[in-house]
Amino acid sequence: MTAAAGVAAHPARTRCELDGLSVDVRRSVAIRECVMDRLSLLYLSLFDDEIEARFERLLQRAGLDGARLPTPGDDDIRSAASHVELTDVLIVQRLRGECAVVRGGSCTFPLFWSRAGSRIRLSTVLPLLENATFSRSGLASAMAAVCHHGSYEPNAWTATPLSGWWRVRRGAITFFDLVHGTNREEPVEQGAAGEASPQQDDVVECVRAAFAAYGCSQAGIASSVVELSGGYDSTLAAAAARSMTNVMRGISVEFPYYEFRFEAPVQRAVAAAMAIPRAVLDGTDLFPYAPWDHPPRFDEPAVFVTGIRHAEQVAGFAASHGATRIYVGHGGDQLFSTDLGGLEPMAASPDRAPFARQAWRAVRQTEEPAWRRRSTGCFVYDARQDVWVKETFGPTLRTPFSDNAVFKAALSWSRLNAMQGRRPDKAILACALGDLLPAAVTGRKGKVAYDGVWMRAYAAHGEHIGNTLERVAGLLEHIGANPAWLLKRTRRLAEWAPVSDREVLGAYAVAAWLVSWGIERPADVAWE
Amino acid sequence: MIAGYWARACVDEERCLVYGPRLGRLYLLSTADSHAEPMQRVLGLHRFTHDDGLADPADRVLHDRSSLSRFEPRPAPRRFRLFYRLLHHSRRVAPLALMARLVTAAGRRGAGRDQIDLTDIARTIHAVEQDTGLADCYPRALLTLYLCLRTGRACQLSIGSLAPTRMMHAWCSTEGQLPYEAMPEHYMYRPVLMLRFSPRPA
Repeated sequence: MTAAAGVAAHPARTRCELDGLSVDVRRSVAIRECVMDRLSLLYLSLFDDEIEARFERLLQRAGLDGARLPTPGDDDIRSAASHVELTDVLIVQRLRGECAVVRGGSCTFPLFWSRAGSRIRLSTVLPLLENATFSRSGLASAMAAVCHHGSYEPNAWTATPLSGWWRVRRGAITFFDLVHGTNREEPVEQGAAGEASPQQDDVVECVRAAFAAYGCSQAGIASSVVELSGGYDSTLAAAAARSMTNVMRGISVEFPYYEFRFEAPVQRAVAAAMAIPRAVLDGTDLFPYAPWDHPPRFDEPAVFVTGIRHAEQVAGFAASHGATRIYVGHGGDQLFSTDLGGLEPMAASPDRAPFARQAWRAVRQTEEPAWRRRSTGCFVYDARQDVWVKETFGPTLRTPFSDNAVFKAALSWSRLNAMQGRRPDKAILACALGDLLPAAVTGRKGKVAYDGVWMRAYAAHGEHIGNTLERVAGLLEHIGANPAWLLKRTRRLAEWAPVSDREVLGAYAVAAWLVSWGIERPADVAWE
Repeated sequence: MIAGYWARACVDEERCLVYGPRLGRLYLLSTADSHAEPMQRVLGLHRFTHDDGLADPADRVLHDRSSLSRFEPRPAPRRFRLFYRLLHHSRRVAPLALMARLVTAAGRRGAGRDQIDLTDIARTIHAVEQDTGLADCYPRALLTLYLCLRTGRACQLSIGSLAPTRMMHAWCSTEGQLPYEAMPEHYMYRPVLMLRFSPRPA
């Protein structure tokens, strides 16, 4: 059977059974399956309209063609892994009782695994309310994740809030031995070692080609919204995707503060240059921690919950206009203004005071310095909101900066700058894609810091934060956190005392997650 | 005597941030307290003109790290590297106003000797920061002040606040331009103190 002939769509299917392996896939995630004599491939992506092309491209580039490669070895899978899009997942089932799962570094949907007898169960859903057993250390780790690893889905460890369930690492290949029930992991390096030293012209060509391919991938979109900040990234995301058939609208957020005084004119100028209508949201209604309208039922606690009101407003606007896509510039800074050859730094430890001894042990274990290489694509953006937005509102978020080709171009840019002893910046985007960038963008003053907005957010929503923490105070205590300390810290933040807010951020992420799932007392669920 | 202006950065209807040049600190005060003359005297503001509409004297950044990457790198003179380090550490022992006076005296002593343009000033500061591995607004602003005065240029030293945070920024501009700022960011900070300097004493 040829690869093309074996591709089959399963838009409504939720469970795929393979030999020794079952895969539960949420309905918002598209699946392509290719079954050959001694090889089965499953490709998962949030992008229904792009998955076909992505899967075909992978099969061609990686040579995962059953006719030529009946039983791929580990090296074949390693080679294929670098062609899997950063947002997607590839599952390779081999005859020898082995399975390999490649999860992209910026995967837009969660993926977990557990053992069910002799079988491995993979799932894009953490089965929280299915008589699951909760883990105290897993929840304490989730709180610590916010403190140590910022907004990214934790990748340094794989424990989840559920006992017996582990997260499949991003930017990695996880090999499962289905016979012996063991597994091992390897990082996926997107930049091949030993590649020739890039020249500026080569990088320019790579960037152009990558954005041209991104533009082609959006050809089927008829109605879209762009989050128009006036910066390079969102402008490029929209400009490269524009076409005669894509009706595009812009949506911007404006703040009435001194540091934002140049932002609105730039946003207006960009919308005018792109000839798209633009709606404006009042930023003071969308402060971090603003309460949600739709329960943010993420699979795991995520700091993104603090920005949920903003996500609701933008996604609601898109849905009300029949848009199927929301273009964003997420990841632009991480790709082109950061050295992708380096390690992502970790924040300092949170305060010891709000943690009991056992919880503190879990927190300290999350300080593991492993899995911090940026070249794996794990630090592009926190993509956990994407699946929630799609399932709650319909449209899909799309950034060009999680495209494999764009990421590889950025890696070349980082390498070139490292060779010249410089820090990368977005000059390469202006050079390669200047025709897509209005003068207002290239002449923009710079990026605005949101520190002032966050401080105002604590003053405006201190009461909501406190109420959320109080609702699950018993649970926080159960997992080893100190609600009284956290409430006191929240009050101090609301009074603009110069103290760290990371402990409150972490606790709020866990508390909001528990409240969203209707879990407010330790007795509401079973514990290990 | 240094001519200058100060402003309050209001954080809400009742409170404002005020920079006190006497100790070089930012204070969160009630609006009423900020108006009290004894308080202004304690903070060292009484010598300066109060103007809450104080505007940023810098309209543009002439060079940043990105634009200077086009130039061939050159080593910074050793005396400037030492001077930059000294200025960097001086904040622990001397407030900005005092350091500005000392730097002004040093700059005026050699005023007019160097005939270099603003790009050269930018490249010098950039090279110093490359060589020392330090990139901080405080010594950068004072070194810019020194180089401007040394080359016979009048300039303004500004202190800004990103209210309501306690984050502050310092920058020195001349002819409406900021010769060098690693990453353009001064525009985010509302000026709370602006001191004027000329190459010769008034």
